[in-house]
Amino acid sequence: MKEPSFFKKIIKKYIRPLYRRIINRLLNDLHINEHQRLLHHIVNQGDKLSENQRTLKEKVSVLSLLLSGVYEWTSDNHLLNEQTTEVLYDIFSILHAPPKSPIVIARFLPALEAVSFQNKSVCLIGRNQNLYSKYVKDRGIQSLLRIEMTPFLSSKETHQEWLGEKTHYIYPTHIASFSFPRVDFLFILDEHTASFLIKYHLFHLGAMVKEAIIVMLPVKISTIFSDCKDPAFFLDSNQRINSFNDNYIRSQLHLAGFFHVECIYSEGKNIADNYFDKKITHVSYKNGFSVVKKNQQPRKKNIPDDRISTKIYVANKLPSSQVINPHS
Amino acid sequence: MKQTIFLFYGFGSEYVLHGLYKEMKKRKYICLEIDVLAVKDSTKMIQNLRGKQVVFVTSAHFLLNKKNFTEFYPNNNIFYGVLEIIQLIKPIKSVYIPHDLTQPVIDKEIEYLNQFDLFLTPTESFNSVFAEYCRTEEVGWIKLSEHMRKIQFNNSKTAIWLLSDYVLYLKMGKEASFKKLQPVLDQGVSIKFPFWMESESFTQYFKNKGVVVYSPQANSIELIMKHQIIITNGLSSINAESYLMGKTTINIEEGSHYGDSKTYLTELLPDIMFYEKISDFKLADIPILKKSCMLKPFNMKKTIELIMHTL
Repeated sequence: MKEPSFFKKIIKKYIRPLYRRIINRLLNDLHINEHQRLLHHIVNQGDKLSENQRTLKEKVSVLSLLLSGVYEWTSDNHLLNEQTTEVLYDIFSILHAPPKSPIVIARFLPALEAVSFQNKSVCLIGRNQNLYSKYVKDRGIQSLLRIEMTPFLSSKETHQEWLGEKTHYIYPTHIASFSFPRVDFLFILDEHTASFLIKYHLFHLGAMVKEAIIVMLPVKISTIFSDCKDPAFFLDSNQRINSFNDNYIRSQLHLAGFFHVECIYSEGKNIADNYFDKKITHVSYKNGFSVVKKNQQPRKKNIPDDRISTKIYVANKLPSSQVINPHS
Repeated sequence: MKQTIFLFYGFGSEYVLHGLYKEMKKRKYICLEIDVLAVKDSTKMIQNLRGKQVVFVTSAHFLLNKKNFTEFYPNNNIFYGVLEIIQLIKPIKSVYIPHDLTQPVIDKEIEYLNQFDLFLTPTESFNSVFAEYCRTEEVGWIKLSEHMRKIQFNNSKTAIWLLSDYVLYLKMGKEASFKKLQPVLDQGVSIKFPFWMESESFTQYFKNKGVVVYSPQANSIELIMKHQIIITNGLSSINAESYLMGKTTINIEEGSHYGDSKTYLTELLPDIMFYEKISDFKLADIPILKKSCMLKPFNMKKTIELIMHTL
């Protein structure tokens, strides 16, 4: 074995002990360890503060709703109950989000041209539905029921005449107790209202719809071109559900009692090249829903894109006569 | 003026409209009867009805179509599901008469009940449940006619197993099925298979083994009237039929599926006796209940009036 060089021997014998002694002295004199502990403590406190800030925000949300009379306090509902705050967050979104601009609404109305509204009864649920209201009236409907979810009136049902029709103003959570008449078509073309209702299978409103529901929902773009076989929803930076994948929306619509679902409109550039827009699903008695028609194969590669696209789905009560095939 | 065609539609033993069909035909209405298990390809008959004025009367489950029905009961027949027929022929009136007294409308079906113009309920108790979705009228239990209520039963302790979940036994085969059911049948219990595929050959096989077997096409209500103890399994309509007719009702759970509906069964029919295993059943230990019949017989006149109303 080779002997260590003279230089290395010197380092080992004199320099290293000296270095250790100086470092120890410095650590001791400059209170380095203490500073390190303090730094950790500050970081931990920062995390705790963020957590407290989030909790405080939730409490403020709940208290604001309690004060405004939208939400009633019961001993069962704890301020930090996750489910409660999720619901309250949804309600806030419905009540406070800015309404869609008329230009955006007008952009997708041609997609509804294929649907016949002649002599049909229609119900509109959402916020500031005046434009839709005018649209369906021009299409020759027989009767119109408007349900508005706006914050400026009391929590009880009230009526307002607009263009000669009766409007019901109700808060989102009261939709389940609303005495809903049977209608041919149900429109939910406000994304916030639709996102809230779709999570709860439309609060059983599907059973009251005779023909179809037309619903606008936010879909995460990154899921559009990939397989996404399982229903899924996505959270925003506050850990709230803010968008869905296509299959989540379809499964919820099927569970709400709709046999046949197709996408009729996509916002943005991807209208022509969108697999899901050309997909039609049927409910299966045993296995949930299944794809019955697809004109285009999905792209296998998942494109990472966190943007949210607005899509409009038509869910029909009956299977489409074009796709009925007993031999399949 | 177009003539109105009355279409009566159902699946095998779940088709309970034959009596109504016969009566309507007797009254000179144009009637068409389709039992999809008896017709090889009923789709052409349905296609021929497109554009015609049709009143659609059915006792079939709404969500069963060729694809998913075949998964439950393998068969090669070609047919449409109820919702498909409504879409294709767009009837001027659609009427639903349930074939199941325990669960007239099963899970998920209630969402589709508003596709019908009229729901004819067997008992008043279902009115409040279904009336908000569809016009609901009580007409009595379609399998029970007035003359059946006068049938006298034998005073000796007689028991019959009106077998349900037949597909389990169909898959098992005749020999294995016999071995499975033998502990009950050896105690002098008679049996009736439901009217499905191969049930006639099952009947013959069991007869050859010395068991008293009734024809699959025999009226189950008449058999319930004639016996004191009624055995059933699963969520069969027999549970409610026998119970509401005041009979001692036994439900043998072994092999059957209940999903999450067993609680529903025990709440609806609290005195029903459950046996976990076939071997647990001892005929000698079963008490005989003496309750009066709570089921109303089927009101044919009212039913026809309701179907014809507004036509």
